[in-house]
Amino acid sequence: MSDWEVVIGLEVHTQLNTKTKLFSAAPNHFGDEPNTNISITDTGQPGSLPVLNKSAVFKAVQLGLAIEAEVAEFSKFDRKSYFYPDSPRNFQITQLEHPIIKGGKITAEIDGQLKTFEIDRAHLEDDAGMLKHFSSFAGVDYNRAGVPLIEIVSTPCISSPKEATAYVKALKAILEYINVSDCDMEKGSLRMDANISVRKVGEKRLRNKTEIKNMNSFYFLELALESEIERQIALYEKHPDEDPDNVIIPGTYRYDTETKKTVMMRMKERAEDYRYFPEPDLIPIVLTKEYIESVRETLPELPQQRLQRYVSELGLSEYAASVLIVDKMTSDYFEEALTICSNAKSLCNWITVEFPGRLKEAGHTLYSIGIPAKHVANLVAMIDDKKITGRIAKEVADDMVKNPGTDPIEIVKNNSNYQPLSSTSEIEPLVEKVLSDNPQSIEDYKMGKKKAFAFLVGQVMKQTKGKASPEVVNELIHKRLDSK
Amino acid sequence: MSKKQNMSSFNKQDLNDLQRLARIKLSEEENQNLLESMQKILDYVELLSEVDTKGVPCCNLVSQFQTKNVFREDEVGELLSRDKFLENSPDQIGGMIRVPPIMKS
Amino acid sequence: MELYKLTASEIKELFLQDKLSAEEITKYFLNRIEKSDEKLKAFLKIFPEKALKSAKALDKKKKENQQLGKLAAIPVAIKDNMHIKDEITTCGSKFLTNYKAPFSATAVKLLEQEDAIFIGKTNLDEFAMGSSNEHSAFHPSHNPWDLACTPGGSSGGSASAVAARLTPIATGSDTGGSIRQPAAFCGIVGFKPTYGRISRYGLVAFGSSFDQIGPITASVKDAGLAMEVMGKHCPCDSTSLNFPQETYTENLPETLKGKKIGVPWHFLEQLSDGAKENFLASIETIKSLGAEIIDIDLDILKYSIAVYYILATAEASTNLARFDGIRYGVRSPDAQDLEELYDISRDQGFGEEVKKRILLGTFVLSAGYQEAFYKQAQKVRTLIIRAYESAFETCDAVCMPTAPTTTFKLNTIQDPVKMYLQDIFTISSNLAGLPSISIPSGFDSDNKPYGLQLIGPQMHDVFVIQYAHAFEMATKFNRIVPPQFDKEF
Repeated sequence: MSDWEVVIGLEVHTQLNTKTKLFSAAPNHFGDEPNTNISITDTGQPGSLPVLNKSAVFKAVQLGLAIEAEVAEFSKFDRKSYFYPDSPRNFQITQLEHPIIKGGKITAEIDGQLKTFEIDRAHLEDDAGMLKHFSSFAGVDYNRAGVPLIEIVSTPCISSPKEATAYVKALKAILEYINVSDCDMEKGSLRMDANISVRKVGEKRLRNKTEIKNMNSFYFLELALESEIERQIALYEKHPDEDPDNVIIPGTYRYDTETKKTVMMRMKERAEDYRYFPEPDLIPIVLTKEYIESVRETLPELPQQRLQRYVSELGLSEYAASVLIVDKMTSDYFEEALTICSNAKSLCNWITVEFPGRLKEAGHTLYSIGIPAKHVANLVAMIDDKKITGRIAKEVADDMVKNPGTDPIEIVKNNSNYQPLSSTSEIEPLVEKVLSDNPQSIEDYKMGKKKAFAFLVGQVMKQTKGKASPEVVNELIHKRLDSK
Repeated sequence: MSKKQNMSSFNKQDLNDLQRLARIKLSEEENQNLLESMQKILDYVELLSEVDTKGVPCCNLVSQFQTKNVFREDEVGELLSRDKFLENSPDQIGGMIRVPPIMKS
Repeated sequence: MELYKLTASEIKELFLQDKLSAEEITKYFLNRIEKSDEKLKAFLKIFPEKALKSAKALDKKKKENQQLGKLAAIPVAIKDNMHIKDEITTCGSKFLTNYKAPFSATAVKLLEQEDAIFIGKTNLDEFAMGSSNEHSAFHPSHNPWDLACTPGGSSGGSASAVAARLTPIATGSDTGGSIRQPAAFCGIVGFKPTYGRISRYGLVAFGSSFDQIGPITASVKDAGLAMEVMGKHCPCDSTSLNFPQETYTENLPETLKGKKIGVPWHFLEQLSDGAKENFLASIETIKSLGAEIIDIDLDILKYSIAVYYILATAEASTNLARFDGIRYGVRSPDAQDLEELYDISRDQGFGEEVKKRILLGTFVLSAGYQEAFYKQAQKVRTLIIRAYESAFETCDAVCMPTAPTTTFKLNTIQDPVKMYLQDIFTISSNLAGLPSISIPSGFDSDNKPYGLQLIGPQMHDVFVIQYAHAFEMATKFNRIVPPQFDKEF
């Protein structure tokens, strides 16, 4: 494996969350009955014409600025011809020659290191309808036909499946933060195609690549890439003396979830001839510097900016901050909790480590299970105010997960086991008991063995079932022992 | 399709390739007629190669007035009802257009 | 009463003055159609009930003193590649024999809003591809001046109907001359506006950067009237010009004094003797109206056919890709699988000329050839546009014949290039998006009409109408009705 290096380029298609479609005024909405969100244009009726959605252009520019790309002052559309039932006109309207966004970069954290990925371009195009396959026929639904897509094409700068996931997650975060897409992979509003090749470490030229299409989850993305890398390397190693161009033939693959292998869909011996040419029914987009700057002002805080703020203003570690920001919902959740409790580090820990650990098996997140940010904040606040011990807090958290939506303040109030024991009158008898039961420890302590003290504290804590505040116990024992 | 030097060598194979791209399947007779016609037409249009177009831009826009930024507000407008859409369809099922099954891989 | 001899404007006057009701007018023309369309086959569909219903409603509107539209009581025929909602639009093709239009074309809506009475859909070359109407999948149409001859194409049905006075106004579409050449062959007026002046929404697309809807009429003023109705901005068409509507019918001059008319003499060398003679006579008329004739160089126009047949077919190959038997149109019952569904439906649904152009268009866009064909043609198109711009620096309008000959007998031109060369004078207006009109300019020895063409710079539509009107007033060729139809039926 280490003889080989991997070269991956990703094409991410994301549906923009405009109200209407790219070239028609039909609603941009998922999940309706087939063919109920269609217009003359989306169904390719003869005599229909496209008219460009202003908001799609705006969102494209927002994205371009958010990925530090160049927003093209001149861009236009092209026709891309191919026949398929989900295409209402048998040509897609896309941007080949003059895309609206050129260049760009994304930063993502991988194994504690930050890596910057270069983006080649991003452009607008219309989505196709949906084919539903049955055994003796297929059904076509044009609800999705015409939905605005932005296709973001990376340079082949991704060198592992892990990096691929990190790249897409970082891109997804940006898309969510600037609110141009709902990035719902299950609904298909974020789709990934990968181009992948391998070569010997140090080799300069790029070998043949294969394409894996339409991966709709990070899990499958990594599996598919791993599988394809393995397949390519195995073949190269099996035919070490053959011309590499004959070993791996360009083609389109998909990941078969049953065999857990990449399977060829079609060969690319004849490259598809899409016969691109400028779309005569549309007029070019010309954007002024003033317009572009005005769009820049509408950008909210971006993930990397938020990360920097967490590090510099809240004192979080870069790692902790990077985990928080990668998902807008998580980050927003954290910010909401922060309005109630200012212990950023502790909140971060509970939101990114403690609770996820408890929710993982059930496949839930804090928000999906319905625990509001306020409650997590309350929990941390109680710990900070010493109303409960750290240990009790863990049990309270378990209860919060079991009964999502119940305020931990209530949980603690209603459970005497959680009531802290801080009144000395309740603890003193227990301290006495432990001291009288452990004379040797007292001796050891007086001899300077600090461990003995800790032991005694531990014993008292045990007696109080962890409800006593360790500081109070410490204090009481000191009082008893140091005075004697 | 490999590039050719002159168009009277546009041949049957070329015509077949075009049919595949354009998704039309001509009958034998049509093939012959069309081949001759197309050879004639292509021979004729070849005369464009004698025009010096160095430095001349492609004409992508005919209008000298309407040259940029024709947009539409992002508001829902008139829809095509499913009934009207399916009224013209050759075959439909469950509100979808029905087509022969498609091999997935 | 000889209502047929009147122009649309004159008929409307009679209606407004209560001399005739809309119902009477409509019945009159329906009767003419019934009696003569058998010979002409200009119509694919006639709407007697619909037309009479509209007419009666209009009469009621008038009685109630409501505001009346600019085309009140005027029967209008619509070329069958433009949608009237809920009516079949065949585009002259077997593919669409059962296609019910789900919406009306903007131009049609505008006509309807101005109280025009839709009388029927007219025949055309299939998908507007042709210059003789011989490529209609149903039947050819015939020229009222000589029934053995073509009315021209692709708007042959419309031209034939107007020439025989079966309807005062018809719409046509013009991609390479399809309004003007039939108008010339039929001795009437045909106007193609500036590209983008009339909305293409609802016109079945052939060559997107060339297509324009336009009026075919018995007088220039009628064409102007139709332009006042249809020449408006449409938000459903991105190429529709965002200019206010203009007035074409007021202050129409009858002189060309002070105007400079450019003639590309060099380019006209290919005319037949008769055509040349007629053109020279027209030039004399123009001079007598006070215009100065300017020599202009449009030699580059000799490439216009080649440019057109590369670019228009390229666009058409993609515009017609949607006709695949999947969503609408006729799906072949012989298809066993998806591939066959496409291949066979399209082979069976399209006629030979259409298939030829689709394949040609596919070829010029294909990998390895796009540079030499499509892109080269795009560049030469720029040169043609520049040549006209240069010409218009020295003249107000360019004058040329509309066609190299008068009409020809059906089934006589088989060679595709020879047929394409029919459009040699008209095509460049489409390449450059220029407003152009064909007006009758006389007859040959067989009493077949000649047409004269006037071409203006973009957005000079009103001027072109004005110049044409002056010529018409001086010659009155448009008042001559084909002998066989110059009577009451």
